[in-house]
Amino acid sequence: MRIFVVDDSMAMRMLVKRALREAGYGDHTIEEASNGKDALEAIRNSPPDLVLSDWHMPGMNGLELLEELRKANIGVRFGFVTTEGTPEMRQRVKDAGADFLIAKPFTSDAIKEAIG
Amino acid sequence: MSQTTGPWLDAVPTAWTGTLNMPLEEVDFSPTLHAELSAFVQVMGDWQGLVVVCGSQALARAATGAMFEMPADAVEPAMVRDAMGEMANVIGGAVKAGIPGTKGLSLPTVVQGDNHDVYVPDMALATVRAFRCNGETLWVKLFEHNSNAQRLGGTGGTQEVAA
Repeated sequence: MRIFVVDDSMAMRMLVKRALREAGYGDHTIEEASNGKDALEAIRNSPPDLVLSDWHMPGMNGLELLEELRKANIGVRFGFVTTEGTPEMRQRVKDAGADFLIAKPFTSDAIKEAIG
Repeated sequence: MSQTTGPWLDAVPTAWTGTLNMPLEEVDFSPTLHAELSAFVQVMGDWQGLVVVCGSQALARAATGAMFEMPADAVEPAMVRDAMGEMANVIGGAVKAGIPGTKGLSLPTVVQGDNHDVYVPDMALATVRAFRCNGETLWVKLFEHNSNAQRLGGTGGTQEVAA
C-alpha cells in the first residue's frame, strides 16, 4: 500500500510516520508533502492508496485538497489527522467525502483502527 | 497574577504527553516565570481567544528531540520552531474542543528570545496552568477576547500575552 502524508509540520509528519510504523505499516511505501498544492500535484500524477492529511495548512488546506481531488474524480481513500476533532468537524469532513478523521493527539492504535 | 483552576486547560497534560510521551506534573504558576519561547494559536469563531504555550529553550529542545527521535542537543532551531508550533496547535485544538460553540484555529506562531513581549488588543487572561516536565517548567495561558458573549474568567482589558 502507498500512503501519502500531508502536513506543513515536519515534526507532525514524523509523528504520523512513526505511528504508521507502530501500527504495522512500516513496510508500506510512505510518501509526504508539506502543503496541499504539492500533494495535489503528486496525487494527480500517481494516486496513492491512502492520503493522511492535516486540516490547517498555509496555501491550500486539507479540506481544499480533498475537494480538489473529488472534483478531479480521484477516489483515493482520504483521512484527516487534525486537531479538529469535534462532532461538527467530523460531520463536515464526512460531508466533504473524507473516509475518517483522526484527532490529535493520536495513538498508533487510533491510526490502525481508522485505516483498518 | 494568580493561578486559576478552571477546567479550560484540563486537556493540556493529555495533549502534551499523548504527543510527546513526556509526563507532566502540575505545579503552582509563578508570575516570576520568564519564557524563552512562546508558541500560540488563536481560537476563532463564536468564541475568540488565544492559547499560549510558554517555556524554556531547554524544554523546547527536549520536546523537539522527542518528536524527531533525536538527542535534544542535536536539534536545529527550525526544528524547534516547527515542533513547538505544532504543540501549540495540538494543545490549542484540545482546549478549543472543551469550549462550547463553533470555532477554528489559526496557524501557530512561535516567538523566541529573552525578554520577548507579545501583546494582543482586547484580550484578557482567562486562566493559566503550570507544569514540570523534564526538570523544566511549562505553562499554558488561555486568553479570551473581551467581546465574547461567553466569558471564561477574564476581567477585561488589554494584557501582555507572553513575556
